[in-house]
Amino acid sequence: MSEMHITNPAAIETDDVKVKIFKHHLSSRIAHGCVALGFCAAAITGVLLFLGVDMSRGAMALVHALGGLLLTVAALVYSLTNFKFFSRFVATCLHYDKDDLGWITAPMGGYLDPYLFRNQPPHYVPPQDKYNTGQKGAGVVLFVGTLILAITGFLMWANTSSGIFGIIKISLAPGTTWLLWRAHLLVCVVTLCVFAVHFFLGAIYPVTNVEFGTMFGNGIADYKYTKKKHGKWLQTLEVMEEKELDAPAEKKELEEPADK
Amino acid sequence: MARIERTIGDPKNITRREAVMGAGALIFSAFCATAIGGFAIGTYEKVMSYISKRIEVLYANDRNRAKRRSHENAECIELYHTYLSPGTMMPAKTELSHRLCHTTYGKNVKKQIEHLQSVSVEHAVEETEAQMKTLL
Repeated sequence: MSEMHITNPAAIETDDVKVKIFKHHLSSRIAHGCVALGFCAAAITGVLLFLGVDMSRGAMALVHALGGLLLTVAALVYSLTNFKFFSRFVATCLHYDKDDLGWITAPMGGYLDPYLFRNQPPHYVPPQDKYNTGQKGAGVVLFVGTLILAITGFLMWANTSSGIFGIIKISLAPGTTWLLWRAHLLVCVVTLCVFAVHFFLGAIYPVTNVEFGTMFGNGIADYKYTKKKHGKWLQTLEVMEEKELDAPAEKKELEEPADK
Repeated sequence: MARIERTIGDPKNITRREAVMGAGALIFSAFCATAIGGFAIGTYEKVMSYISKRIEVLYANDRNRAKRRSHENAECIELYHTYLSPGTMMPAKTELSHRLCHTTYGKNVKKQIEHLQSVSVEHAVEETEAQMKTLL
């Protein structure tokens, strides 16, 4: 990947200035954690239910429904209470230009270079925004996929004999139930595939798993990694806080012999 | 060693484009939920309305018929008295009534066919006569 020359004075790191990049706010990290927990619980129990594993189906179905409920409520609350961050995320995911085309033809941001083009120089990858093309595409698929899973899931849950906690109860025609179940299954397969890549690159692959600490830690992104992979985003950042660090003690000891 | 630690982040305010995109995403989600939910529930109401009308028509047809119960039908009574259970009316008690009137479905059809092919009608008549002697 070719590193972009940064001209934003706020984002330039020198010997005197150490730059910390605040990438994910606390609310974003909390929402992401809740969504991840709910999605994992729903995915695991969903697969077990689909395979017909010999375990208590009632308990698995309840965990599946509660996982979906957590996922949906967390996403909904976040989008309403942090509308700014949500809007910025959506706008980034839906913005594509020639740099995104260059990322795809790299191919796939240069991630496949070590495997497909071993003895060749790495491809040029255009500078990327806060999320690269793959992350933006995954964001769109996960947003729409989770939306459809939530809608079909809640309709099927309300169609059961007890309804949703006995409060919301509807009746669906058999054909509609069949259609909802098929849609739920199809979207689940697509979403799980995208999630598998998202999880692998975010948590396991050594080149990119530095982002795991950013999202599940303090929200501070690695400067060198961000400068290399998300240069376009670095150009747009503003100063949030600036503080002086303590002067080092070594310099004072060196000055004394010179005076004597 | 650095003397200043600078924290940088996204701009405080969002642009108009970003706000419109965010609102559009929320409206799209609400629209999808309403459309899919409305379709699902509306389909059930249509189906139930159709089924209710069919039920009413069937019951109306039945109410308007002179002969409404098969056991009060003169032809059925005569069939049982003269052939299926001679001398009286005993549905499903004799071999002939079972052979000629009993219906099977699905996996049992093949078995029923084999049974009918293995036992002749004449044998069924003889067995019916024997059963009537014990039943009457």
